[in-house]
Amino acid sequence: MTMWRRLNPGLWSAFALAAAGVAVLNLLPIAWLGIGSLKEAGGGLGLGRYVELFERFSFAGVLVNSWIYALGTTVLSLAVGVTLAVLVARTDLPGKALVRFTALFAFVSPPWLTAMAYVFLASPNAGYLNLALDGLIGVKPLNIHSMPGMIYVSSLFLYAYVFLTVEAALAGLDGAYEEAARVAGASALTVIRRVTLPLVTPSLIAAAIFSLIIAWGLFATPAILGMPARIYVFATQLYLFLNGFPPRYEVAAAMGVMFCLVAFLLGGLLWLSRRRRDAARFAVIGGKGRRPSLLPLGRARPVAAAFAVLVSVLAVILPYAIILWMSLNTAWFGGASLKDLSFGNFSYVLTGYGAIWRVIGNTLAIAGMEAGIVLVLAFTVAYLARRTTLPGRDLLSGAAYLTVLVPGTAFVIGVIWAWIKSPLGLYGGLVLIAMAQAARSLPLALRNIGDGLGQVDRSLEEAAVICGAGRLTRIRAILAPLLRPVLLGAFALVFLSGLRDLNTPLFLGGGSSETLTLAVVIFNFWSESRMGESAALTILLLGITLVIFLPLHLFVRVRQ
Amino acid sequence: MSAVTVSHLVKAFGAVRAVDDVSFTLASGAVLGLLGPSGCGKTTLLRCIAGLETPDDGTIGIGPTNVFADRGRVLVPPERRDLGMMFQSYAIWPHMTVAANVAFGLKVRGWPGPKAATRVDEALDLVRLGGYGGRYPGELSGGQMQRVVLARCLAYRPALLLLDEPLANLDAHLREEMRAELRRIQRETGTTMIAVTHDQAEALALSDLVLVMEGGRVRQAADPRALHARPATPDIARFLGAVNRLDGRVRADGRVELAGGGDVAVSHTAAAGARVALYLRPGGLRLAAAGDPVNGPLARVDSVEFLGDALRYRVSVGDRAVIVDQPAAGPEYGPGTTARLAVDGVAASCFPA
Repeated sequence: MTMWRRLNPGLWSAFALAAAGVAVLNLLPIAWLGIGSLKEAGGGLGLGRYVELFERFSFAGVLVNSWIYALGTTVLSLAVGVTLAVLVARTDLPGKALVRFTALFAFVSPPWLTAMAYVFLASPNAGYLNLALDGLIGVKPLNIHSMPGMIYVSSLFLYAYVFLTVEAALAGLDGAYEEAARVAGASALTVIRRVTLPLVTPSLIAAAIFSLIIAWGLFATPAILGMPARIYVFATQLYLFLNGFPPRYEVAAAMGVMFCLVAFLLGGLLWLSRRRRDAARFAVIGGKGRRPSLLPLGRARPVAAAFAVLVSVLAVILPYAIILWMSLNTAWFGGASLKDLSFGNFSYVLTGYGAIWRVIGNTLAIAGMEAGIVLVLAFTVAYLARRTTLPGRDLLSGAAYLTVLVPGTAFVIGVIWAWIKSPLGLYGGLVLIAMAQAARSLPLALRNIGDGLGQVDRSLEEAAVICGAGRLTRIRAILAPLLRPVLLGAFALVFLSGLRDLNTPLFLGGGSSETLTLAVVIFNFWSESRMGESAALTILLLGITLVIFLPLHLFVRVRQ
Repeated sequence: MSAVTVSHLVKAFGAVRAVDDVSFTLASGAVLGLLGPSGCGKTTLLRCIAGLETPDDGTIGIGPTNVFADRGRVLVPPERRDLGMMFQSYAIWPHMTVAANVAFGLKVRGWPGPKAATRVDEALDLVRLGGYGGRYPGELSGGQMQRVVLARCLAYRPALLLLDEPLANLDAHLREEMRAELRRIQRETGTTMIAVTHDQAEALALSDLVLVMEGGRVRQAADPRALHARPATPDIARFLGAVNRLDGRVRADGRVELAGGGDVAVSHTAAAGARVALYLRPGGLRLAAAGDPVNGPLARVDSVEFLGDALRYRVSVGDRAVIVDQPAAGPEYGPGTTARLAVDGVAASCFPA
């Protein structure tokens, strides 16, 4: 084997480049997050920032809020997401396409869109729902600017993640196990409780842990809903640290480290639980199985269908309708009358707001660079991990996955620390924003491409070797064409999330107009209470997304 | 001239020696069959020759060059060994047409388009798939895919063709047709071949030389007829289908006195008084009336199964169970009756016990 490696300098260069890429993108910011948190005012290293965090910033309150927020969101998301996943994968629920579409849409929707929509709907005094209820029963019961409000709105996004994870696991589960239980006399509910859910336990645990970590990193929802009511959680407190005067980068890093440590702990537990479990117990998830016959819901069918429709309405249909309405409305929070409708907001953001083309250009440039970096790196890492025997390949892919365990906003703090004084001068530029976003979306792309590679039978490449094709020819002529749908899908997903990323450009832009993106401008407009313009820009961003992705989608469809 | 020379080849996976000190030479234009039960190391040996696995020790020569020697200090990567290989899973590239699949090896060798196209047509004609070039693999049947793989291997006329369980994925009828087809194409092209199989009939029909492998080692190397007539060990005899065993002792007159009573004349080289074990093929046995003067002991019929063209009897000779397959024509012996077990003395294998 040793000689085989020596004969492959090309492979080793690819490995070195990928390792360097992962180190710069992922490891450097995480390391700097730790270093930054230990910087003392005098210049040395110490634990002073951690002490300060507790003594001066009433960190305990933020800590408690963060846990309530993240746990509440996780529990609600699991309840909704798992219920819908079981209903879709295992019962005769009508309208499954709607449920799947809603989940996908909710997952890729900008989180700020839902939060903004619910301000219009359920703010204490002027929300449309409150006004309607006031007219009906004489009270205004809803207050979206509260912890329950934040948990509710965040769950409308995060349930989709749980649903997509668990539904995929259920789809890969051989139905014979459940049919055997039914034939043995178990009722439908017993089968789901005693057989189906226990078999997908690993994905349930993973969904719960990753939901918690994602919830810590959420910024837009707690910023739009919580900050006006002075409810601060991890991400919004970080924002305050960065935007205070002077900015408190060290304290921000210390807080980031504390959440990262808990996340690493949870991730470690997940990893251990997967290693120690008898693999055979869950080996049923191989994707070869046949779906079992669907359980009839009987009289519960209309209730389940109503629940599914309600989720669709609350998570996607209502928020999008409200944002569209607001974008066309120049008299916000007034009476909803048709004579106020105009394209005034659109005309302002497209012609009155001078920087708009530059902002659109920035947004596209960042998303494009991000998607390019991620695609090349994820393919290289996945290929090295699955198609070579190089030592260190598992370490490389582990390092590439690492950002999954770092709450989004904490990671950005690490990026600031890593690059703010770097002589390369990337700080405050588009490239660094793209790099930080790329680090965040690398795990998802790596997973998709890795799974895709795993499904390409090795003998297809071996046949090409025997025919005399070298490694590059094999990748170009065999692997790349076979993986084209997977690669295009990964590109689309990363590009899409890049277009709507708010945290990274907001935290890394440093307020400079050079690096404004659509998401940041939308957030800034919102902060200035220019809600109509904010809504119009959101619709514009969605329009750009559609213009780019519809042709891509059709292209993939046609090619298959 | 020898096309393939393998000597003292070793390949271990952890503590398991999948290939353990294997040596053989194969003449140019000949067909070698690697025969053995699953897990015997035959596929690992084939993949070592292909270069898809790297051996630990020994040498592999293809034509005049060593492709592996000196513990890997000499190591030619698979793409430069000038091979063809038929994979058990076919491994036809689903995103390319039949013609593009067949042309692939020519393209990587830098053949110009028109010349390659002519060669592709020749290869497709050879496997009787002329006119199928524009189709995609998804539109083909199993047997046609098999032919595409063969055409893909033969198009660039490799020095050696490797076949990994080439017929395993075909149903019984197609398998026989493809087996004859493979032999015809091999004769027409004179290609040197190494074929891995666990099916003895396939190995015997295809090969000029058969290596029987077990536990990573070569247990017997012989041409098909010699192998069939004289398996080297009881295990090989059993593997080749002689599943019935009768124990006995050689009498002074050379006949074997059976432990369950009765005696039988077989060809053997054992001395008088030696204990021996006889291995008998079900197809080499038949039942006759108890009084018939045939070579063999008395047997009690336990059950009879109707298999269509043949009857399968399960009988007892003493306390030994014996399976007999005989043509369905003629008298049938019901369960509980006693019959005489007629043994073809030349076809029986006799080993010291």
